[in-house]
Amino acid sequence: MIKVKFPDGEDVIEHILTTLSILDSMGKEFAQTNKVSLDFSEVRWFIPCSIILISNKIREFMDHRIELIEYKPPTLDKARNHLEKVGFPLGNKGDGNSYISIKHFKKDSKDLKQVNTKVNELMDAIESKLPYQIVESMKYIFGELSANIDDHSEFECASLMAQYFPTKEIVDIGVFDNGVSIPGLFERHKISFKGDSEAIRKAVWGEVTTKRGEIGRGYGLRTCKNLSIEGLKGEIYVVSRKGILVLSSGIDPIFYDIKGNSLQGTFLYLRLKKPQEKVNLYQFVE
Amino acid sequence: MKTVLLADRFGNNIFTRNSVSTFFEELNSLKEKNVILDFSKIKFISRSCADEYLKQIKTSKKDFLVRNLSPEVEEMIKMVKNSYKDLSFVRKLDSKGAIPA
Repeated sequence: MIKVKFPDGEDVIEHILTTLSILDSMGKEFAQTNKVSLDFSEVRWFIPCSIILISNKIREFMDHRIELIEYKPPTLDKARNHLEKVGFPLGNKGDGNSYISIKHFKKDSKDLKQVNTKVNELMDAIESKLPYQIVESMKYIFGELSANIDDHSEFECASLMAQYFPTKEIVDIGVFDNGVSIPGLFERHKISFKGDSEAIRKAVWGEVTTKRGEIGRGYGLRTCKNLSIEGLKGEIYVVSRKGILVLSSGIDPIFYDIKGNSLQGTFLYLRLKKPQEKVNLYQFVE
Repeated sequence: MKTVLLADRFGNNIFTRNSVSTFFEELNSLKEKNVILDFSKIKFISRSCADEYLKQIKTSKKDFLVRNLSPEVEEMIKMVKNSYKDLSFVRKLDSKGAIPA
């Protein structure tokens, strides 16, 4: 059984690296035994980024006909109850007062409106749970992130989750797709980059687009970056294959190239602060 | 003249390019030459969708009349339109952000 332990603090990078190691162990166990067994009994604390990635991996295994999933929940009531609420491990249709539980959806290549429909459902559900100051910005960010997934990633299974922490006044949003990843997509289009983190930088800064020569492309992620960092004083974590980009208000961007486990797909995790007043997102749109 | 309520096709928000291009494929196959696009209940359009919308309007052989744009949707369409260096690329919007038929 895979013993799951997350770091005590809120360092998102530490949580992501720990989660990548768990995902790697899950992959190995599944390959050898066609089952996955997770022991969360000692988990006392987690942040949504880890949970959405592990849950997505389980769904991926289910699509590949996993025979058995064993899950030992946390012994600590608070952690166990919260995991249940957000729909871990399989996802959940219901939502709470301040969160959108884990939502997974499989790609339906015949339905080109699928992502639009799913994100609409999510936004309709979350709108009343968020502070009004942030709703429109959230729509912009979610919209552009999902449009990118829809356009480029060739995912099999995408996962979404969002949570508002009223006492800390922050919103956590996680969007993951298990598609080709940003570096993988660039390789297909023969776009050069030194490391995976540089590929992420080029995508987020809008320096390159796989739709070369087409006017109006490449602005979406850059506007998301400016809105999240300058407008909402938040943090963005982009993990794609072995690259990690961290953007945070007031500090220079941080680039990591992971030496060990890599992520199959692209994960975007945002921590946004509730603004005192409504942010005019249009001042960030290029 | 055919009237199409966008909220019936998209929900309250327009998020993905694919949904816009699919929508216009449907519109372009209509027998009517003149189409009214009714934006009632559409609260939000993303930047990429506004871009795709303007491109589809430009290339379609239909004549469109646009109605009931919310201030937010109108603002986004205008911003994207203004970002094009070649303004002849899109049709001129009237003061309400509507595209004259």
